[in-house]
Amino acid sequence: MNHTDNSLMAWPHQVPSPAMHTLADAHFIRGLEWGPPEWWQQWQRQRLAQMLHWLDAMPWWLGWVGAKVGPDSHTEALAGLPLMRREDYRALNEAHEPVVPAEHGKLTMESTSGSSGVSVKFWRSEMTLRINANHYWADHQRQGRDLTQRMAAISGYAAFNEGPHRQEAGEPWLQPGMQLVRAISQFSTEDHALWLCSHPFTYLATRPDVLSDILSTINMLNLAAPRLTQILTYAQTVDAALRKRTREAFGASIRDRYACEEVGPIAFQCPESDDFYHCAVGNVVVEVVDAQGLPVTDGAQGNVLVTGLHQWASPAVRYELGDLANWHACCPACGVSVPALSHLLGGKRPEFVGLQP
Amino acid sequence: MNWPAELPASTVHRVTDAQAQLALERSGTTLIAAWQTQRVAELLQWLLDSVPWWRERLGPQVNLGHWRALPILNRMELRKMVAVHGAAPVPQHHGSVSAYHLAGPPGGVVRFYTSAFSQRMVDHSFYADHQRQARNPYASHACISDDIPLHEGRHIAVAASLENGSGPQALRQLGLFTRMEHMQWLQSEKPTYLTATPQWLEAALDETQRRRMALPEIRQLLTYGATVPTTLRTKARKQLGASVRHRYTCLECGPLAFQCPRSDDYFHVAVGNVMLEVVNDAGKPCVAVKDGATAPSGQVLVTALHQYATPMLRHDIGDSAVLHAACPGCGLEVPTLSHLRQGV
Repeated sequence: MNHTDNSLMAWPHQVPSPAMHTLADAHFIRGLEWGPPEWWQQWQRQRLAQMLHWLDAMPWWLGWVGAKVGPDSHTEALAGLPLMRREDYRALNEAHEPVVPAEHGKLTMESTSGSSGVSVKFWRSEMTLRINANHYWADHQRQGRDLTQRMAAISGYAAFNEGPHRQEAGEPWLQPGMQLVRAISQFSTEDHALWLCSHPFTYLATRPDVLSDILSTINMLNLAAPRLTQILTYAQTVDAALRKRTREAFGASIRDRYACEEVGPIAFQCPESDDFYHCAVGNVVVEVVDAQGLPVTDGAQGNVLVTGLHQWASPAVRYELGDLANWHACCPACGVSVPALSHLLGGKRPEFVGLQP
Repeated sequence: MNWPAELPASTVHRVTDAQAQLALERSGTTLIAAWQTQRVAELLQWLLDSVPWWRERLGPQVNLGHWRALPILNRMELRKMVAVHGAAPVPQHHGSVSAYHLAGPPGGVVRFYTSAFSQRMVDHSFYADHQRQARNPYASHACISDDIPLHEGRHIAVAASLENGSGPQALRQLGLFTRMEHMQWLQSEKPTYLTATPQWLEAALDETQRRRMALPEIRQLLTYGATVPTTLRTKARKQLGASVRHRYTCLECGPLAFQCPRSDDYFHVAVGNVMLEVVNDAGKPCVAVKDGATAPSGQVLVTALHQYATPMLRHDIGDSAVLHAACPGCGLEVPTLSHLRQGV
């Protein structure tokens, strides 16, 4: 394997800083998920208390919550805070200039497209982006992926490129395998299907609707489907029929990630089940509430609320995504002691439109 | 608990060392050889500059191209060197040096020195094996060994640690209890993983079989010390539902090779910790007679890449094995051992 980046040669004397952060963050992300429940519960209390204490000094925030929450606030105090709807989030972000502690780094402005929902502009800090990205890297470990292997990405976020794809050379520390990336909208579904069938890959990352269209095209054109190991999906509901078609055509399993742009990853599919998702306790507090805003009982369905623990620039606290899910105090499939979700259904979020049963 | 604002140095070292060891193992023979050559060159330079008795042994300069001309260091020579000179000076970044006295085969007490840095490399090489073998490091782990200090009560309990990435551990001194007491304790503790020596495990499994004693389900047995017989693997699977994952180690420098995660027969050389050679009685490399054929078995020579306090270059540790350029078990391009016989 040849890498232009030979930074591995300098170990153990030197370790590149990005690799160091990713590995250390992934260590804590996995530890909070796989360790005893007291770890993530205590850690979330501390992070939430820090964030709410910081926000107590912001007049616009006090205007929203009504009164200071205080330095001793913790996860239980969340229940006393108002639900934040998408309209509220937009109004709050328009009404204040973002301020974060210096260690959170620089801020960048982002927006969700909101083609049929409410478009929102928000800010994210370097720390937020780092933690979000490293949650996705930790998922490679969770799902037992071999990152020396090649990955294809047909992405809604990728920029247009010259030629059939953009080639991202591997780097020896975190992802030695090559990645070939192309934008969803730059090519037709037939182009995507032909491209996928003509390159050897182990993994594919794409949206469920794109995957479904590619599967149909492969079937229609009678193409020889490549053998893949895992397909990483995002942004839309994955149903059992799509999992079955994927298994039959590619021999691959789907490993879904549940996220939103405002706070990043919310839950990752259990590595031992198609049905359950482990809440990303190192990034968000997830609540599932009924129509009265009260927590649902174990196994029951309700509205998903998220609180981003690293999103201090544009705080999303008890943010109502408009998604429905069933709540589990721990994962019924593998027994890990973090809260888990099942029967995920997109509601009002633009990404989910058209996919509701 | 202050992550992500703070990243403890010990955690950063643990995760980066473990990742580097695994990345190196998967990086292909060219990069592995280049990295090992660089580490050997650093070690040699240090020995020539700073360790008089090694300068005397090696001569004023060493040509790495003539590596195989360097004298083989046998066990008695190493012991004598340690007895006469004690610890070798180490580079500043190695930190403090500690002495170890262990009962080691064949006979007598083995004395050696190791630095804090070398020990870190050894510990983290073992930690990386959790990932290699897809173990959950936060699951419960029992260890029955004569290396565990004497203790009161049933065992020494070590709490789970987020910083160290470890689950709860129960450590039990081998000699404090009978085999049956150990097995009854296992039944009550129900650990996910168990570390013990192959000989002890096989004898204990035979005895519980004779007594028709119930045993817990264990996911993996981690063994060390002597060679693992096939009979133990069969008994472990049948009686405990466990697979055996052997670690080939040496007292003075830690892990030498780890069992391939996809095979019982092959061992990936711990390339981030040691460089291994396999030579015949004449000290020549064991090579295959025909293309594609397996090389003959020979003596294992160890060069410990981070062991500066008790340097070991081409150390004949008294074991035999076959060396493969790549792993026949999983196809990985990493030096691999098979037909391992420890304490020949």
